[in-house]
Amino acid sequence: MVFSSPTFLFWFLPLALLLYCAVLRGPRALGHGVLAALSYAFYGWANPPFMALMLLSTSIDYVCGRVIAGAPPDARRRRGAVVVSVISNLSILGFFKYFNFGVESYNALMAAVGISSLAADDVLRVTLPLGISFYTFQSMSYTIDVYRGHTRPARDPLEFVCYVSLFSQLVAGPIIRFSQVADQLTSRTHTAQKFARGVAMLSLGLGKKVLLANPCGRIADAAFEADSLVAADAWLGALAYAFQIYFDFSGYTDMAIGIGLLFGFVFPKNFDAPYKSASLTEFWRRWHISLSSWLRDYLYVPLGGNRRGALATYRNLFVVMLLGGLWHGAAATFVVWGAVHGVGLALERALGRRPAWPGLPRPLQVGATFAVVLLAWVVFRSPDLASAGRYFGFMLGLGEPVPEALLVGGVLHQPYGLLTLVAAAGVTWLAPTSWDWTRRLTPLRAGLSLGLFALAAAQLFTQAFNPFIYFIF
Amino acid sequence: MPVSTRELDEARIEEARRELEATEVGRGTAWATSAAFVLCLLAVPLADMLSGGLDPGWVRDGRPAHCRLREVERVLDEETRVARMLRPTVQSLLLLLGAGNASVEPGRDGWLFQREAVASVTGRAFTAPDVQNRRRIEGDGCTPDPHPDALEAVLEFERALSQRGSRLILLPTPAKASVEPGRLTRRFRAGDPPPRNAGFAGFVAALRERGVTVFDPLPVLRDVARTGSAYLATDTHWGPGSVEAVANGLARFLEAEGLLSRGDSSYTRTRLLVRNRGDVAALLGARPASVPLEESTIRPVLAADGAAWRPEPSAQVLLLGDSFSNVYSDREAFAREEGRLHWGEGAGLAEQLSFALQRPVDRLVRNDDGAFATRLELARRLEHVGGSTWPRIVVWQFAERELAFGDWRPVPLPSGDPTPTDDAGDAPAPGESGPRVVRGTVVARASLPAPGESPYADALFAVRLADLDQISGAALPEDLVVYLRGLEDGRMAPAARVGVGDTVELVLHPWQDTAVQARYAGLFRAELEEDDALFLPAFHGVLR
Repeated sequence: MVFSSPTFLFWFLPLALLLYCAVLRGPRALGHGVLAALSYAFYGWANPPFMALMLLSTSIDYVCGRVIAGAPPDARRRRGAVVVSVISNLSILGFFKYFNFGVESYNALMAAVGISSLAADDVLRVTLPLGISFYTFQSMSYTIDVYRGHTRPARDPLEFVCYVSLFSQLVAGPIIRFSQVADQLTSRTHTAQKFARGVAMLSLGLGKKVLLANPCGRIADAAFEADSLVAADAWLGALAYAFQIYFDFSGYTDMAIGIGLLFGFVFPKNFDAPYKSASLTEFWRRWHISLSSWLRDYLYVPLGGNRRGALATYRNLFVVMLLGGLWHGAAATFVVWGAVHGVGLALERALGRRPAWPGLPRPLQVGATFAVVLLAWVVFRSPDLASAGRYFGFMLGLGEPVPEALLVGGVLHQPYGLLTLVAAAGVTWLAPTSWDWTRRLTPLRAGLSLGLFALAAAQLFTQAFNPFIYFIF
Repeated sequence: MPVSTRELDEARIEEARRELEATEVGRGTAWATSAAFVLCLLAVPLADMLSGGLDPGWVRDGRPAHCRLREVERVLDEETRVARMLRPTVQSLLLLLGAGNASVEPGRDGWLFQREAVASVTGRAFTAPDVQNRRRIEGDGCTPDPHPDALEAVLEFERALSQRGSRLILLPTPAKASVEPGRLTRRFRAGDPPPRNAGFAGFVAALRERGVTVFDPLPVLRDVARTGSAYLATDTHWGPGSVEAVANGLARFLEAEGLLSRGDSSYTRTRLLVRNRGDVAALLGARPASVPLEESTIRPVLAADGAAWRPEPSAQVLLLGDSFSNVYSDREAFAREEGRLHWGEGAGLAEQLSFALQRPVDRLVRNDDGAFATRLELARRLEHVGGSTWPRIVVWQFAERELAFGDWRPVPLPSGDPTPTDDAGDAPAPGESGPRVVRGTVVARASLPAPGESPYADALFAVRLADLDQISGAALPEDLVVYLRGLEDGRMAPAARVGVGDTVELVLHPWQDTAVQARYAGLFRAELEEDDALFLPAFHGVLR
């Protein structure tokens, strides 16, 4: 079940609101319990046994948090508890995310050295639990923050379970720190103003996802799965993917923030018009902000950040982005994607945090930055590096205009798809962000939001093509 | 003074709180927006509750819970009253803008293409090792991992047939986009080379190198396309003229190869005008006015005595075919008169081949799954009919998209009489026997595609019965497979709810019964996954 599905919007969400309202004036624990139960039902819908895994991870971190909070400041068991939390979370993440990759790499190595008989062909194939990359990071940040004294420990297990599992941000972020919602878990306000803004954010997010991301995704899929492309179509496909991933993810985040507001929670911004960035440094302050700030606080700074000289800074930036790429999945393409951004950030740092093209006017800087990001997305989207290489070849016009390439062009150039790309470009570079647009909710804007909701929902009933990219991470 | 990361983090949440507090919205607007939103959310479930509720489609089919939840979600997404009410109109509006849906790619001038079939043409070579490796692990726990290697499957089948003295003729049927690309995009002009999957040429070359005979109908179909339409505009399949041309071309090919000479059976043809809306149009789900009915003239083949053509089990030629062979032979669909018409009967590939050869032809045809289904049917016939004569020539027709997306599961052919027939002997026809009534427990069932997920409006699915308690009729084996009706005219049939663990009473007819074969054998059929179930005695069943 994804936010942008009729099942969630018209069956789960009304039920959740109804149950939540019923316990709103009751004891806080009851409210936490209802939210946690709803969240586990939401999560378990995708694959029920994995609820136990999430509960295990949550339990370990809650206990570790209590140990840390209950021990004297210099006690060894404080550090031991953090180590247990980090190792357990990374082990769970590592096993489910990278086991299959490890087996495939081993088999490839055996084949390469000519001893395929030692290949591990009948080994267990592991299914990736939904949202594991998000909730392990979220849960791990809690114990680290308790250790650092940046947040109070959870008052009771139910509060912590509710925090980790909260369905509005569980499977695809934003990654919420406990410190950001600790006081809201204790008490939060429920006003018509908050609810209305939540409705508007949710509606805009749904519109981005259904009306922009999905059609762009269809174009991108046709291009990236083609055997042959002419250059213009290869660029069109890459552009479509850049829009798809942006509107897919930012739309989902808008919905997550909107849903949070419906239940009284305030979550920070996760996207801030990233394609308007004039440098990669700026891009990473605007794209998936909760992940980039997590990597900064829990990886970059502990590695030394920028405190140990220029070379160490460049190394740290590169390593963090490399691991950030690996976080997305166990594939060389994600690692290379991260490395590209790491090199870019290091280069800009060497230039004094300025863009690599300082002399250009800002619009051209934005264009150049977008071009780099777009080319990196080609690697990110490709199933493997060889396919990425082939795609770059198409973009350079190295493919021959075979009949199949002409046919793909017919698929890519459907009027609806092209209109959507134009609309996507307009929204990306000319329209205000969802936060800015919903700040002033006039009757007209409120009406437009609801109209957008209805339009997107109506299209949902026809589609059955409703992927969500970040569900696989 | 440097700002700590904690301060940066707190600044973000504070920014969000300030942002929220700065929201400018009038009280009335806020309440009206909230109320309107909640009413919107409640409209869908209320509409269903007030109209008698919604069947969530929960069926115990032995699959993991998340697979069955996915089916429930599909029902909640697509089968609500509001969804069924809005879908045709919204889809029609989208069609005006050139948008299809997950299954349909709109072409020019009202032509519609099945998206998967287009992708099979434009996608990576199906023979590429990395493509096959990815396909091998694409099962999601709800559907089995496919066997992507068509070459191995075809070679194995050819070897098995050769051992029986039969010659295999492969007839891969091109996708509509290969023959009529100009109907999809104006980038193609008449005479341009046809698009085809990048792996196809190599695949055929590899087969021919190993002695497998391949009859490629593409040149014949392009000839048809030059003077009209080779394919139906709103359907996946070829037009009746194409079927005749391919049958004729195949017959001349067989004669040229010295495999068969023209016979003297005196088949004739009549004419019949059929009006229908194609299977791709049905997948689109738009309003009927958006996709007008198509007219097509079919020429049903008649025997010398004027009776309708019938397959001849002792014929020298056996056709194994999918829906391309069956589209003008679909007796079950054509016989049903409520609502939808179909494309007629008596004019399919087997019939036209029979006419072109002036010889009887036998056939085993089944909609969909051309990679696997008819090999299985042949194997079952050998296993259970027994003593059957054996054709000299086996023509295996399947849609080319199966090469990219099909499941080329191995199917061992049981050992049988290797002597090929010369039309002199009579094959013992499967005898008709009376119905058998049985009570039994369902221990396994196949999973059905949902309505709208496949182009076929009618489908059967297999269940495995155990703990049998026979109520009447001839003796039954202890372990058997029953095919029940799953889809009927695009809707879930009552028997589709039968689940694992259910005790059911069924009226059974042997699957090899002539009447059963004539009516149901060609329908799409969901098979059990277990290999040991493939060759169990099979029956057609109706819930009592």
